Amino acid sequence: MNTSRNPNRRQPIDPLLQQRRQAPATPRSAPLPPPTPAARPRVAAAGASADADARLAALAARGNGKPAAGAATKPGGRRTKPARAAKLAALALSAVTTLGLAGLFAGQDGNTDSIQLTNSATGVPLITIATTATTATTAATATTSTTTATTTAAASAVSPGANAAGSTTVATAAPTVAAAPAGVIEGTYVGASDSNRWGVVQVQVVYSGGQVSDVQILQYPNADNKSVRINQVALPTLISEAISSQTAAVSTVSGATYTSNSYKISLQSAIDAAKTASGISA
Amino acid sequence: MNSVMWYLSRSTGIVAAVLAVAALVWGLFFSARNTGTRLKPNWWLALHNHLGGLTLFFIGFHMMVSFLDTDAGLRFIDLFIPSSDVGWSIGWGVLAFWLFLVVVLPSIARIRRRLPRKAWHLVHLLSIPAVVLTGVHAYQAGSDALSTYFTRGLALLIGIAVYPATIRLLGIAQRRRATA
Repeated sequence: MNTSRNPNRRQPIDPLLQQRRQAPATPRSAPLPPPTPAARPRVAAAGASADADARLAALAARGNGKPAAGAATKPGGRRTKPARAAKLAALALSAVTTLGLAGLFAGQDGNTDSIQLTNSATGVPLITIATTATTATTAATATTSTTTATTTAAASAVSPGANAAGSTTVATAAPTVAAAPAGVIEGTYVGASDSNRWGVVQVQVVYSGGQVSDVQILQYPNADNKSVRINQVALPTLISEAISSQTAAVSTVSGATYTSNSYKISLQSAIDAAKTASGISA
Repeated sequence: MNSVMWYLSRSTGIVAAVLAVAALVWGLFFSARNTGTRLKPNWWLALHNHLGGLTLFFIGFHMMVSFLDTDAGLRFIDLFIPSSDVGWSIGWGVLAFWLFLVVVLPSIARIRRRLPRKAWHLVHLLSIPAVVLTGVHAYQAGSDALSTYFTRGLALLIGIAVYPATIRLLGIAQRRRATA
């Protein structure tokens, strides 16, 4: 199977090999001479010049905005538009995810049985909403019997379904007998309920040690899941702001402008009621 | 109709945030020369540019549907100028939008050619605060901010973004040490 003696076999064109064959007496240890420029293969040089010509033609044609005739571009345009498939995949994935999430949210809106509104700072549940029902069940935890009684009284005084626009009920105050050291008597004070476009907001303020120690939500817009979800975010923020600022001058929560405004009105009336009950001019 | 806008507003916001993080991650891997050998650097760069543009598109879509959702109570001007009327939770999102615009527009080839490289690079670094502001906006203003999935997803995105950022910073530190 030795093919080295085949006369039809193509001879190698490597110039180094040819030089080696012509001078067999050269010792092995001696370095080989570098190839002369004339001995370099002409095929590669011709290919390079053709490539350079094509590039020059492409550059010249760039000014016209037309592709050069015979310009070297791979079929399919992958050279000019890299990551084309990945780009399309990203676009398709984004569109599908957007629609999928929107569908998921719509599905969740119809399937939720109940949503519990909790105070993010304390973790105390404020109100539990059954989404199919229109009324709110107050689950505000009361620390004293007086607070519980006040909450119950307030809940019964205001009908949960009363959504007349702009209606405001009178605030009630239920101070305890224990005296507070700094002005306002300790106790729970129920604010006026304020109606807006989306529903009724009513709060009660708990004073202890002469300061607002807690704000509890008695009513808030909960006619649909959207209102519930928005207020789930907004109300804990409003509560913590009121406790830290000790006033009703809290900043409006974006996306919950109506609730925020009604919350401020109800909170202000509760604070006013507390001051009036304690004999402090508002 | 408002409910549909609300769903779309939430979903486009989430997708825009994910795309922003993806564009950032792609850019960080590319600038850290950590793109591997399987795919060419121009593939990474092209996809990074595409993700940046896609982010801006989805932010625009998110702004549009948020405006069309009349329950959100956003005026047209609130989409572009942060104000105390709507609060800073929306304001962070508005700032993030402007930052993304400032980052993406100069990266268009025609504009980029006219800019000095250093100036372009400094402007491009604004993408990092833009992504951070996006996260803050999502956490403060998002209707799903209280959802466990959302919180976990946000934490995951932060983790994904921190990894290439660390690689990039380590690379810079290594190069400085080598030149010193």
